[in-house]
Parts: sequence; structure tokens; C-alpha cells
Amino acid sequence: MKSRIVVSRFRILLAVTAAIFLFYVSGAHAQRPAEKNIPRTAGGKPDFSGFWQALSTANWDVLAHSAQKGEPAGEGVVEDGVIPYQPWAVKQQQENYKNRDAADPENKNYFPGVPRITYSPFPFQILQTPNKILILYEYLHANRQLRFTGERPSGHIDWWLGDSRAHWDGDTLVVDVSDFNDQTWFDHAGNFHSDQLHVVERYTLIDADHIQYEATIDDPKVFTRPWKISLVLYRRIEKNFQLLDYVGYAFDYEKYYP
Amino acid sequence: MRRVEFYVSRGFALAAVLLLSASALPAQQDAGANDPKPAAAQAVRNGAGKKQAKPWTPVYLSDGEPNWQGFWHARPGGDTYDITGHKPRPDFNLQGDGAPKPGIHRVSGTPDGSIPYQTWAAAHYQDTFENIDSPTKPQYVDTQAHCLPDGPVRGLIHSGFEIVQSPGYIVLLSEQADEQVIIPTDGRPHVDGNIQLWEGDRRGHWEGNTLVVDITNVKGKSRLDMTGNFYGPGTHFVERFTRVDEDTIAYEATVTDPAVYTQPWKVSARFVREHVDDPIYELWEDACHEGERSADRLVISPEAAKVNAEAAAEAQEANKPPEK
Repeated sequence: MKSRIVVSRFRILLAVTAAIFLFYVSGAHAQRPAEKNIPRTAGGKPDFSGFWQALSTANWDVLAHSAQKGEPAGEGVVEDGVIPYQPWAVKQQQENYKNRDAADPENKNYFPGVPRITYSPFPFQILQTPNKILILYEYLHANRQLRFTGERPSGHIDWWLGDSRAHWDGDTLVVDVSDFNDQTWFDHAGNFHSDQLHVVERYTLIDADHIQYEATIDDPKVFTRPWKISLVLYRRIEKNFQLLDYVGYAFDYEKYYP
Repeated sequence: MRRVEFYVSRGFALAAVLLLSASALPAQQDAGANDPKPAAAQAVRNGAGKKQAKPWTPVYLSDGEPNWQGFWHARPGGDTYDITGHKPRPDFNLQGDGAPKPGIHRVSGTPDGSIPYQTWAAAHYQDTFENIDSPTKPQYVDTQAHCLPDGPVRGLIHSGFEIVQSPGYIVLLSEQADEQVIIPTDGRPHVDGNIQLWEGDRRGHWEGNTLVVDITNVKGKSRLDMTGNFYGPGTHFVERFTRVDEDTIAYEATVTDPAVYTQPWKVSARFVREHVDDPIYELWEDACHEGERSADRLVISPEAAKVNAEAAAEAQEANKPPEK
């Protein structure tokens, strides 16, 4: 009797341990986000620190498009593939598109606004602290402070990159951005907005090296309803990777100095 | 099997699982106590006036680096007319008696506190200085007027800056022209010598309460001040920031470039903590280049230059202190 009990207890322990071992090596645990090796801060939040870059073609056109000279084809990043312009705005976008090579504010090396700064074809660095997250962009040395503390300044301010206030929604970093001017385009295809633009970004680590980036855009002056873009940000894993610089508005002056 | 043994064996297995999970998570450093409010509270508690050195205990971040976060400003500072202080700004910065304020002498390590230029460089500087008030050529327009990055030294003296720290990085942010300076402290090598950067390539390390920053790979096209003092693409800066007390950082940079100067020289400043009593203060977007509307009118005609020169002479006469 006694020996039978000892054997069966041992067998069950062996079976359970084996099951757990197999569960881990099979990768079945990858279904559960908590076990995807997502880096975390000492406070338990996902840690976005590091270097990231978009590979999408959204900077040329956020909607699906064929290739053009100098521009790759792309499947588009807009959910449902439609930007819900008001009727007057449809015409304005078409006008922008016709004049895009001359009229794109990117030509003047102006800050590209949000979310275009995210998918401009340059890397950016995220530095995460408890009170705020810094995003330092290589492009035009733009930077944004995504603040967990403090309040939005009162009154409308015409900023290029808006005012960003952040909070956590579980493991997703949510950034509420407003106080924009109407000077930027979403892409080279002339998709545009007014100064009533309001953007809510969501950054979620899919795994240690990929961020799912989503931005919901609403602007009651231009669109009939909010719409959403979604794309992946890729970690720059090269050894000793760092930002360099691209001061676009300086190139024409360089020859005169020092 | 009896129920108790069943659960005991599961317990061992669960313990094994938990141990495995814990060891699989990478240890991540938080930035720790980077909230500037405790420092502000400490300043108020100390009760000392801003002009006195306060008793001060260094505060450290969770990765062991000194916590210097917050807002700082060069005092004296806020204007970089002439970094040597030998040429007080003639048109304003006047004192009560109408005389220009004396210049701030920041340069040391040379016989007379001037920048030790090679002959060609001294001539280049003199040409720029004689034409800055009436720039008839693009090279006579100060780089700040085009919102070009101030770069080493000038960027810290001309406007206030915010220090933000995160493991492996110290970042200096200025509202003016949205300047950003990134200083890795993780011991990585400099970038390839063929890369030139407006802010240079910076590497920092700590020596107790001194931050030493090595700057190479500069583009060498930013000016050091409005009169046209300059450096070149081969210039090497070594900065030493020493935390003197709660509210003060002493700064000294050694500038070396045999192509431009006859010897190394030093430039110094003092940074004072600011916005201590204003916990809601934030750096905002400046968008200097985006706001520029007069870029094509900065270079003036020779005729306009002549008019300017006459007006400046009149103003100087009018502002002379009264004869005693």
C-alpha cells in the first residue's frame, strides 16, 4: 500500500513538470502577452526605451498606392482604407495632390506634425522616465515630451507637433495630442487637416523589438468622423546604434560658414 | 493517491514554474527619483537665499548616476554677443549711466583672455566682426538668425536648458530653436570620423560629481557668438560640468584645434537651477525655422549698409554718458 502511494505521487510530479517544460519549449506560452519577453521598467511598465523606425510607405501616402518615380508602392496604413473627408475637403486634398511636389510642407523642412513625424523615414529614440517619455527624432532634431504629469496649457496654441499628455491603459501607452496648427500634411499625397486636429496615439509592444503604433485622428472641420492608422515600428538593433542628424533647413547655408 | 499528496506535488511544480518565470524577466532600471519636486522642497527647507551656497547632499538615480535633472540657465548668460567679453554690445545692454554693460570674460588659458587664433583665422574673424551689424554677404549673418543649431558651448550659454536622464543617456533640451543634445554615458566609441554633426558627437562619463563630456565629429559651422568667433570641423571640445551645490553647476570647456588656434584655450560659465518654485514649468515647442519670415532680407545692400553705419554712429553719440 505504502509503496503504491509513493510511486503515484512521484509520477504525478514528473508528469506535471514534464508538461510545464513542454509548454515552455513549444512556445505555446507566446499566446499570452505577459510572457513575450517584453522589457519592463522597475515599476512594471513596458519599457519603450531604445531606437525605433517605421518601414512603412505612409510618409508618401497613407492610403494604398502604386509606385511612382522615387516612391515605392504601399498597402496603406488607414483602417478600412478610407479617409472620411467632408465634401469640400475632398476637393482640397485633390488640389493638394496635384501640387504636391511644390506644396508639400516637407519641402521647406518644417516639422511634419503628428503622426507624420512617427513614420518619417528616420530613426527616433525613446527615453522613458516615470514623469515623462522623451521622443527624440533624428529628423530636424524634433523632440516631444509625452507627459504623465501636468495639464495641457489653456487656450488653443498653434504648435507643429502639438501638446502631448500620456497615460497607461494596461500595457499600452496612450498619448492624447492636441494644439496643432493647420500647416502640416499627413503625407506627400496632400492628405491634410485643420487646427482642430486631435490625435490619440497608442504604442503597444508586440514583443521586445516591435511596437504596434496606432493613431486615431479626428478633426470636425475636415472629416465626417474619426479615422485610424496602424503600423509597426521596428527596433534598430545594430550595435551602438545612435541618432545622427538631419538639419534639412541648414543645407543651403552650410557653404557660408564658419 | 491521497488528495494532500496531489496538491503537494503540484505545489512543487508551481514553485518551479515561478522560479523559471522570474529568472526569464530581464532586470530593467527605472529612472528612479527624477521628479524635480523633492529638490525644490529641499531648497525651500534649507531656507538659504539663492545667492548663497546651500548645504547639499548629492542625489543619485537608480542606476547610480548623479541626478541633475531639472532646468538650468547660465548666470550671467542669455546672450552670446561676444564670448571673450572684450567687445561689449554697443546698441543695448546699457547700464544706468548710458555706458554699455561690461562684457563677461569667459575665455581663459591665454595671455589676454582672447581666443588664440592662427593668423588666417584672426583675419576671418575680424572680417566677420566688421560686418555683422550690416551684413552685405550671407557669411556675415549670424548662424542663430537662420535657426541653425548653436552647437557646443554657445548652446548652453545662450539659453536655458533642461536636463533629462535615463539609464545610459543624459539629454540637454533647449526651448530655443528646439535644440537637443544627446550624451551617451554607456562607454560606446565615437562614430566614424567621416560623420560631422551640428552638435558634434558627445560621450560622457562621471568623475564623482563632475560630468566630463568629450565632443568630436563637429560640423564646425555654428558660431561661438554673434561677433563671429568660430571653430572648425576638426575642433575637439572637452567639457567639465561640476556640481558645486544644490543650485549651481560650474562649467569649463577646453577647446583644441591646431588648424584654427595656436594653442588650446578654455571657456567657462556657471549654470544656476531655475524654475525651482514653479513646478508646472514646461519646455515648449519653439519652431524657430518654421516661424522665420525674413530669411531672404537678412543680407542687405551696400547702400543700406551705409545708412546703418550712419545711424549707428548717431546713436552712439546720443548714448554717450554726459560730460562731467
